[in-house]
Amino acid sequence: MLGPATLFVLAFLLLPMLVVLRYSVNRYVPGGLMLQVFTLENYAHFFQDHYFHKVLLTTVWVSVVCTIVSLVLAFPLAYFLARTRSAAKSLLVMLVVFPLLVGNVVRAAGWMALLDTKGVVNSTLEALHIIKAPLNIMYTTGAVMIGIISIVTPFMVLTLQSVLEGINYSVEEAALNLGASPIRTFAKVTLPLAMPGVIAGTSLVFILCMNAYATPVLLGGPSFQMMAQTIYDQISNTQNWPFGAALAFVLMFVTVALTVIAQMFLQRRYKSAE
Amino acid sequence: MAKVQLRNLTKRYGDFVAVDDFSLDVADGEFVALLGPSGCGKTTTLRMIAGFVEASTGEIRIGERDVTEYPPYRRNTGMVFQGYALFPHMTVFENVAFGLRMRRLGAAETHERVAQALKLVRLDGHVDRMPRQLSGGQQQRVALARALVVQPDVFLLDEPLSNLDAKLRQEVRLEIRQLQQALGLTTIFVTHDQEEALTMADRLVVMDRGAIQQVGSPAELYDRPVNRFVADFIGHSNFFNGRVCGPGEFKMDTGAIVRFDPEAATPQGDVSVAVRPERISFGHSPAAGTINCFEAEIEAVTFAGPRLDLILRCEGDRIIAHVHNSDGNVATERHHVGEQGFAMWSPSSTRLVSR
Ligand SMILES: Nc1ncnc2c1ncn2[C@@H]1O[C@H](COP(=O)(O)OP(=O)(O)OP(=O)(O)O)[C@@H](O)[C@H]1O
Ligand SMILES: [Mg+2]
Repeated sequence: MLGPATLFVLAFLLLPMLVVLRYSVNRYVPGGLMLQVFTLENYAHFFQDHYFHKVLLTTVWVSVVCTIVSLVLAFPLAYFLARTRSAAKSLLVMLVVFPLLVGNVVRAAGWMALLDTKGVVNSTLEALHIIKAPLNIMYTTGAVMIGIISIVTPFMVLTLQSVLEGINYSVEEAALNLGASPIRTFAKVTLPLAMPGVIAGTSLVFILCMNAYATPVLLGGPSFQMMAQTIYDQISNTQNWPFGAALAFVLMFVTVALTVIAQMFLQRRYKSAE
Repeated sequence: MAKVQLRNLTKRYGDFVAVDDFSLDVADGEFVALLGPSGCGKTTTLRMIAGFVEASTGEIRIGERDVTEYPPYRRNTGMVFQGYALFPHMTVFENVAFGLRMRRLGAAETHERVAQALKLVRLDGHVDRMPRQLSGGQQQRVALARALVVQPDVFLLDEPLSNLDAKLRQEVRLEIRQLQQALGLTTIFVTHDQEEALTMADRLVVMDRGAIQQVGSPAELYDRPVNRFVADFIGHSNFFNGRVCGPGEFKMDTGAIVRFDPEAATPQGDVSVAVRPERISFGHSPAAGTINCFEAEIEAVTFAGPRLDLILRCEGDRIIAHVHNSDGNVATERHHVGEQGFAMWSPSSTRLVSR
């Protein structure tokens, strides 16, 4: 019954998670090894400390915005890619995937070079006398969002494209023929039929955003905190494995819960679209 | 319903001309079939009328409106797509109601008209099914009802029967024709199946390589084809090359003279003689009074159910003659390969067509 793939998942995915789950109920001893006990104090710590609530809220807020923006950016592009009969199509798909060939850190460095007070954007605007003093783009939530969106959008495009490819174009033509304007055709036919792609794409991208690490660290600056970074700090700086593990589980739970709720909402809205 | 006028419609893709100077008037309530081989521009023409393909030049009028520049959703045409293109996420009812909703009709009237349309195509009772739960024939009917319920000015069908099996095709063919006549629908029907076109349409438009070859009633096209393409595309024809050598006389390349009806219209330029297989009889001696009579030898005999196909060698050409299987004797036994005799036909069965 258990195929090799199942065993693989068990060994390499579930096992580490179980280990972390076990850690999250251990007791932290500053400067020493953690105590193998069963306590919920790490979770209690999270629920009592507003600082961590704020970090979680920032993470959710940034992820929701990035997911929505990348959906809006990706849909027209994915639609174009799915419908074009141009010979350059595979080249265009390559171009979409191309940013993924560069690691997150390198890409964040690129954004730094662009957005810094002495960066390309500011020096260009200054040289053109559009602005007098450099704009503070770096180390803002906006910079983090720009960075994350640039990373997740290719995933959104590819997911949407594969679903849009499967929608028979004549169905849209039928809607137009029956008197639906392009906007109503999109709302009544294209979007409902693309819903599986929207659900898959937003879930995937939301999960990627919730777990973003390098981009918030590099573009957000020291005062900006998202969950992945906070968890890492707990584990590597303070050696607080149990609390780090508890935060990891909070993050995972919130991510899964929000994804499932959003999916259910979307599916109910477009219940007959399958 | 309304009349449709197409004036010098042309569609170019780069250097390639898909539809070439297409002009046609379709009367209110008329059923016209566009017929031609694959790639001749039938679908392109239909899609220009529906507004999905922009005409390179030319004019499209539906009723009194010049719709050439209109987007598809303002043309009020009712199209039935080759693959039906039903909305897979909507029930039969929602599919049919879609056009009415777009026209913002009230709920009561929408229900009434959808029920009426579904009854018309004998699909009442399936309103809550999803398209994938229907057979091909039923999906086809939903597509018809969906297009008809909005009372379009013109009904456009692109090979709507090609996905059905042969028996169902016969049935639906009849149904569409009856619907069309009962409702007085102005209909333009695309097909590459000549039998479909001949049995359904008031008028046929035969196309080849983007251009109209001939327009006429089924009988006109069959009995008086203007050129070799039409004579061969509608039914089958035997051709002899040569030239006109006198009133009602045509000299074949072999030197033999074929007589044709001198009253019939004679095309200009290079001509051939076309003779339908069922007009040729084969006998061992010239029948009394037969004017066109040529020596022939049977090269092959094929049994085709209601008839027998004789492949004859005649005047250096290979021709086909049909013999009716009217007396029920196993006809293959009456004719055999190598048999010598005469191929005969009357001058009125001899058509001059341009090459
Ligand atoms: N978008 C396009 N770009 C270039 N050429 C096209 C395009 N659409 C159609 N054509 C060409 O125009 C010609 C006519 O196509 P059309 O689809 O109208 O043929 P058809 O008569 O409907 O054939 P079939 O019986 O196979 O459906 C074809 O040669 C086709 O290759
Ligand atoms: Mg076609």
